[in-house]
Amino acid sequence: MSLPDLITVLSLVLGAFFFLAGTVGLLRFPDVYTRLHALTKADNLGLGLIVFGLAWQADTWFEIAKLFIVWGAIMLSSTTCCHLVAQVAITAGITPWRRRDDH
Amino acid sequence: MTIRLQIFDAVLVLTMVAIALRALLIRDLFQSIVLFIVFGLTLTIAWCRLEALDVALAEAAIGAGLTGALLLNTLAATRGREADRLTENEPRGGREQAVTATSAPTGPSAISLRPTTAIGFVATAILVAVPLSMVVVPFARSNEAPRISIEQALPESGVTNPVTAVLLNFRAYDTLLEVFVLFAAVIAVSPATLSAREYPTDIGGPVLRAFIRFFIPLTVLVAAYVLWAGTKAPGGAFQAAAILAAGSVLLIVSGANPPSPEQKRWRVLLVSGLAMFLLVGWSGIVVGGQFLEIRPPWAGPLILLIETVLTGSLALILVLLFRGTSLDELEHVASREVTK
Repeated sequence: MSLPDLITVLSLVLGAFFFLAGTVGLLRFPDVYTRLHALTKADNLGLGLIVFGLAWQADTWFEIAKLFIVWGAIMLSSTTCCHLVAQVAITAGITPWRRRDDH
Repeated sequence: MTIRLQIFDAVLVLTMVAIALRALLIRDLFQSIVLFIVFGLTLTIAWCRLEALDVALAEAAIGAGLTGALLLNTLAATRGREADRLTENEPRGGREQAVTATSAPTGPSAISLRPTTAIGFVATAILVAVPLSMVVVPFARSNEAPRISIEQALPESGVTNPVTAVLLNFRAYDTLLEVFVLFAAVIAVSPATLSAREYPTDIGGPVLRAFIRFFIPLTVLVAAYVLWAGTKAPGGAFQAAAILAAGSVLLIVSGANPPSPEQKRWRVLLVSGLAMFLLVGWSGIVVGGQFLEIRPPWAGPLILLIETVLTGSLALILVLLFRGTSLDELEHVASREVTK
């Protein structure tokens, strides 16, 4: 296996792990804010790693540029969505979850 | 096909069936819509696997994106109505009551045809039906279906993307009628009582504003690119229009003034795509060929011309389908009919 292929495989596996972690977080975390945290981590880091891995397989610089534009666009939209959901949740009066023994 | 791809396909198909079933069987409508959007995304992957990238693009933009927004919008609107109906005896919102009061007696006159409109309908029908039947009837009479090999005919189409060649040259009449269907849908929907909701203008704050300021120009750029790419790669008017419409829907739900079918400029844009299509179709007859016969050296530029104008029209059609017509406008139309 050549070095670019090895980098691709490693980043894809690591990226997939972040998506898995994000999904587990979405299912297991206690409230909407922490779930948002888990989801956006998957979007940003997981997709970033996958884009990084795929870039090593691209034929032209143009393809690499397109891949990173996709990543940038998704980061922007997921950040904005996260902010919107959190804002609506705050306005609806959902208080952030706290561990019971904290207070 | 390698075994790994087979496993991928099997997982994909099973996932799609599972999501489809869940979307149909689940009780909560909101969850059902979200599942429908997810189903659209998996369907996009399926089209990619079938190497039908044009369809995948359209599915991602229209099937998963716009239809999802349309359904969510409808759900929000009908839920409001449901609540209204439950509290029937209490005085309802003044605005809504005013509409039912003013529009009910004038209802028939509001949908009656003005003579100019009727003439327009007949003229358009003749402009379309006569040349179309001239093209289609000979095929229907002969027992042999016309067979052309796309690969052989492609150089004559004016474009190098076979999908665009079929859509806008070899079977342009199909596409023309499709655009008519969408146009008819928008005409049918525009007086509907599906309320265009008032979206809060203060939502999102600086984050959403900054996002829109960056994203809307990008949407226009991507739509132009997809339109241009359509002549030689997956893309074209429908996909570009869906992207533009998605950008417009984002603007509308964040408080921008939506386009109104009452205004003349929007009406011009609404019919421009069809008008251009018909014009090019008839120009085929004028230069001595058949309706919609597009030949080189003009085929490439003509296809791009139709597609460019069509993009604007289709985007507006999609936005108007999303939006419906506001109650304010109905009230406005109704009161105008009264004063006449």
